[in-house]
Amino acid sequence: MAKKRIKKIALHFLIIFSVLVVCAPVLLAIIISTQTLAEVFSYPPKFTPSRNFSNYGAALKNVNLVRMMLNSTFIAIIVTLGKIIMSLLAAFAFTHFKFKGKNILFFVVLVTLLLPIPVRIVALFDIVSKLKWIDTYWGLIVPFLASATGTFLFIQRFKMVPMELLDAAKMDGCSPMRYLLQILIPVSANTIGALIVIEFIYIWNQYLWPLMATNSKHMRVVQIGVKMLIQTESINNWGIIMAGVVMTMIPPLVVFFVMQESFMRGFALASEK
Amino acid sequence: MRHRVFRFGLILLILFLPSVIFAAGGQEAPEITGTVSVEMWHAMSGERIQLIEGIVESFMKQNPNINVVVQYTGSYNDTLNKTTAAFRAGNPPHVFHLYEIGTLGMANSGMVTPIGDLTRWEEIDWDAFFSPVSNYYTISGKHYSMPFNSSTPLLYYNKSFFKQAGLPDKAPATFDAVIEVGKKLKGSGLDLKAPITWNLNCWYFEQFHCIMDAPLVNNDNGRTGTFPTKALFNQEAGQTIAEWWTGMERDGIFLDVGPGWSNHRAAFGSGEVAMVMSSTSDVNKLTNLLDEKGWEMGTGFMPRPVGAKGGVTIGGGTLWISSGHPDAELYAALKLVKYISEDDAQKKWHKGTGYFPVRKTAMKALEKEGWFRENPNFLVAFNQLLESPYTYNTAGALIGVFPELRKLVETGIQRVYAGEKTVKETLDEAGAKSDEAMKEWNELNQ
Amino acid sequence: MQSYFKGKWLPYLLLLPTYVILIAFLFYPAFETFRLSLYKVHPFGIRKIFAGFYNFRKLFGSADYLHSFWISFLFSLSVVVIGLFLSMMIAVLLNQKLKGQKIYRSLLIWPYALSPAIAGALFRFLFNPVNGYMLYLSEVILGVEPEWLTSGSLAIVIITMAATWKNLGYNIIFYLTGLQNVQRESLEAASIDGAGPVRRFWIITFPLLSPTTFFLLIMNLIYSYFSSFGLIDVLTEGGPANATNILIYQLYQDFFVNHKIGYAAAESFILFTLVVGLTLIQFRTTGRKVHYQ
Repeated sequence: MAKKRIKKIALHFLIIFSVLVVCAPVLLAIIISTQTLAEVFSYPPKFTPSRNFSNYGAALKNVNLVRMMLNSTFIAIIVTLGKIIMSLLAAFAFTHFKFKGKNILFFVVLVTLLLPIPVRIVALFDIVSKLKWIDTYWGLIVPFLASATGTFLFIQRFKMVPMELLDAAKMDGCSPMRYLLQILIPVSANTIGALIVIEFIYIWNQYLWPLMATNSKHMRVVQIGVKMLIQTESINNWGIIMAGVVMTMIPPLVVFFVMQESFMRGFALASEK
Repeated sequence: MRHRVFRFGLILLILFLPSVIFAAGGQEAPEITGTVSVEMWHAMSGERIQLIEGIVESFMKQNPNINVVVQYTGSYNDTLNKTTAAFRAGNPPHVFHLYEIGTLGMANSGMVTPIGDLTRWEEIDWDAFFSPVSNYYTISGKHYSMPFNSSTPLLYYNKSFFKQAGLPDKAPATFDAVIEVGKKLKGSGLDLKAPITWNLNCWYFEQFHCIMDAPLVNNDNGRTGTFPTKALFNQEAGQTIAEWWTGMERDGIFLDVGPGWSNHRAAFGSGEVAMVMSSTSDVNKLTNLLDEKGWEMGTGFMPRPVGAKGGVTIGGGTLWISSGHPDAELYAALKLVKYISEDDAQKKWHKGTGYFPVRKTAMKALEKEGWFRENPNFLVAFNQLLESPYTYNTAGALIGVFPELRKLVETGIQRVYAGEKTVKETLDEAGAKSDEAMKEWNELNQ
Repeated sequence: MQSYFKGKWLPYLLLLPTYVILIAFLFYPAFETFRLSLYKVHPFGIRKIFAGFYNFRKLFGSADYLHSFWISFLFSLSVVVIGLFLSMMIAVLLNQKLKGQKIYRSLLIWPYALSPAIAGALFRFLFNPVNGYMLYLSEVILGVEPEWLTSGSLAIVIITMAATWKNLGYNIIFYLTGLQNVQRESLEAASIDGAGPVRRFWIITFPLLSPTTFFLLIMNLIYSYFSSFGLIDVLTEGGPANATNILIYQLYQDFFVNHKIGYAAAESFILFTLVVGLTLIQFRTTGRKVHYQ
């Protein structure tokens, strides 16, 4: 029994150690964000927090982080919603219909995973400009609405729904769209939860495209704010920069923690069988 | 014989006098009817954003029929990329802000209207500008862009540290003196990481070439209309500079803080070094930083090898007017950039940022106000610029692939830091790569 | 037996929105970019000269580009090996029945929610050569003040650390779900066997985790080849002396800084083929067992 307890304590110790290592960068960032300029520039550095919150005010003021966070939140919510709807429809088509060119069309969706933004940014910018979408929400939203990830996740989820259910529905004369709405979507709650986390974080964390596609201060998004904070700080006052970084981390973390359970289950699906 | 030539000249003069007068007197400017809207993109971050907006506000007050939309669009490079993309899409900003090293590239981009082509509508008194400033942006006699924010490097030192180390209260003026002072600081018991630093940027390497009156590239440093084809920065001057620079790093006199524009300031501000080289626009910032720790700051010219006869060149940015707009908008854009370069705006700009005013007249006005008595360090910066002689070498090089060349030199210097290469090897390699890049660029810009 | 709804046009209609977006904003732009790889292009795009495979020949003849290839390989290999090893270990720990298991889990996987750029900013702060915490800690613990971000080999170590740290949560999530599947299948077998826990891990758990491992291997490769752009841009900008200049950053440099559009296009194509290659390997070897995220 004692041996078992020692083992437990050792386990706790190991895990707490890992937790500390994983959390250290952000803990130190929080600590420095509460220090005054003189403390930030002291060497050896000060490892304890102070009670100075002016850095947060300075970060908010320097680059208007509030507006940027609102923009990012809005865009992330719309894109996430759009992606979920479009990939639901696409996955439904792939799993519940027989049609010509299905394999090719499926392959095409697959290939999109291999075309990250840097590979196509030149021409993408041209198109978005011609649509007069530069510096608008449209330009930050529409190009990202299609989602291969979402389509695949939903295909997998739909394939796990017992076939008898579909047969029974068809017997009852249930229309395809009603089947999607009343049967498939409710059983896919966890997948939707996982997608909310994945896509919200993906859009919130976008960096290169918003940099190119926005100009005015009321259209900027949060990752550019981080870059601007670093550029603006002529002496790298890490107190202010880290205050900004800490604030921009909060929304995706909130989404992540709130949705954590269904995210894990939705993810589990992806690797099962 | 001489007589006839003279008479021929006289006839020519009479014949062409009307057109000369016409050109000088200005062509009829396009009429600005209703409200003309002009877009301006700039690359100055932080509190400078508000400063520019303030200047633009007062311009609009003076010109109620011109509406300026001013936007901060990220770094110079970000601004350039956005402008290029917007140009391809057919809606570039009328005015955009770009670094000095983009000058030749921009002049050949097909995207811009040279300012010199617009002055037929409204004259600009180029003589009022500091000549190094206006010279930099003149190619074969034509003014391309409007000087806006100009700066040169300056050597800053911590007076309090110098005192503690028993050193005379002045910045070392020569390469050898820097090493000597560095050694004394090292042995003085001060808790320094190293005596001196500056950020890894090719800019300093270029400026030292100007100080030594040596070219970076052939064909008169690209100044006389023929594109440069060969790098010359691997010659004697370049080697002298790089040997000195990297030698100090090797001997622990110089602290390597990497690239970027903040680590070197931070090192100076926190007392880890006693000297720093940085832009003249840092006078305010560095003074304040040292103030906070109760230290006093002094400045000096960039150090030079004994006997070097050149001077500093100008760095910073200018405002370009893009092409493809109706005359009325171009005219409004011209008025805007002209206003920004004039004394009122430049004085405000200088006081707020530490960049030079681009015109001598603005400097004189500042002198009258007693500004330099209160801020002697600014005077050092000005004098350094004013004492620069004009040659093709001190005018600064015009190179189409300048950004790439900079990166090559910076990478090369880091290779020497790391002990992978000797100075000669690294400069020759960077030179060969620059030659190749220039060849490709020239082919596309024929 | 698969059964389907009837409908001739409905499936196409359902797919229409997705494909409009894909064609307009993914395929067409990518095609345009690849087309440019066969041209010498003026820095501002006002002129282009057909050049065949000139850009590709130059790239593969350039020591710097090959160096970039090598650095990318080294970087991704380290990210994969170290990242997978650590996350597998942590997942095994987390899979033990312990008090506070869920809290521990949350505290270990959350960096998944951070962006590469944020990770870059954090590590730049920790390792900055002026007054960074790590500078001080290494002085206290190791007795030396390494030139963390200004020495090439150490800079690679730092970007690897940052990238691994940021992706740790993602990997742990997959290993945890993998482990939960393993448990159900092999609980009895393991207890009958009577082998020690370490041995049991190697002979039972590890092989059963192999599909997850393989999937994560590919995902981490793609992550390190593409998504690490923001991290590099904020943390090292490819330096010092190109020591962290991975392929994606070289592409960014050539396109956005040097404006060598033809080269950048060729580099896009090369990167594309690289990832296609990696993905094909994944599908060949694991079939449809695992799916892409």
